[in-house]
Amino acid sequence: MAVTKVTLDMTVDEALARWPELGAVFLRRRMACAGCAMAPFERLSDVARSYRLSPARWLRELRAGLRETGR
Amino acid sequence: MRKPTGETPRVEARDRARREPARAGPWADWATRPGLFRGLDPRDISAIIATARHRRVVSRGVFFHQGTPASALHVLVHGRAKLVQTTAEGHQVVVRIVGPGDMFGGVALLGDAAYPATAEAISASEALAWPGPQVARLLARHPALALNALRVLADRLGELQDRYRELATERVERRVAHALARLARQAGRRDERGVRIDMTLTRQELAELTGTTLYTVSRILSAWQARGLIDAGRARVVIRDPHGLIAIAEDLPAGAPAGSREG
Repeated sequence: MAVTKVTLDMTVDEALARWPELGAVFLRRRMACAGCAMAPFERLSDVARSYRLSPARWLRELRAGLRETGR
Repeated sequence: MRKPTGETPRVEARDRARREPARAGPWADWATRPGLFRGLDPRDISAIIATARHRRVVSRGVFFHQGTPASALHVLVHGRAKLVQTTAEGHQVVVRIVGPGDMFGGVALLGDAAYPATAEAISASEALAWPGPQVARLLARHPALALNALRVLADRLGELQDRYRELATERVERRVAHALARLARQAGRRDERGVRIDMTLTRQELAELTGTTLYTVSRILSAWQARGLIDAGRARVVIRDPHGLIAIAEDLPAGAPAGSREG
């Protein structure tokens, strides 16, 4: 089944491989995640914890980032 | 690694691979992974592998010694090995750690060269080996193989440049953090405690990999363990706070990492 929606249990690598345009969301927040050695292991929920964001808000931000580019 | 395959070979697709029908080795996925064989026809890969010599080495055993004539290009099939250079004064430096699919001893291609480092297994390992002149013939016959070899060497050069810059400019703590991050990328497994580096790696080896002393590595690992960044066993490391480790390696601004606390 094709993955159609970004979710917090995806790893950073999975999400960026599926939607490269999400890179902009990480960069805007000055996160070190894109290209990080830990990206295959860390989930998007871990990112929220590491950068002290509310998971719900982080997910909204990721989804908004995809909508901006028309996905 | 020698598990029997339960599948029936698809005869029409396989009967052209004359000698080795449907023997699914550890290299079954080499065509799709970065490395020497990426993008090659699986039948070509089987044919190339059929010409290699298989070498098995016990843990701490040696594939070849520094300074001896470089006779064969190796590709590790399974296990793990370190390439170690020893200086005239007896200092040891771990130049690189190789895992399954990685090539080493590539200098054998050049003809009259000597191995620049000793290749020692850090766990029981198996490698394929091709004599230098034979590799030259294979590269001429398979241009994709030659292009992949260039790619592998370019990647390695990039990694060495990174490590050179780290040695020249970074504090030891950042170098150790970078080394652990690289090892995690190479051999990391996620488990319930964090990211486990799936290889035996002594503190001495970590010191030789980062150009520092056993004492310094032990001090740094103990401090990180006390902060909950890692779990460091005798020869095992689990990264419990991946972001915290990257924050050290990349000198990320304080305050962002969850593990850090002011004061």
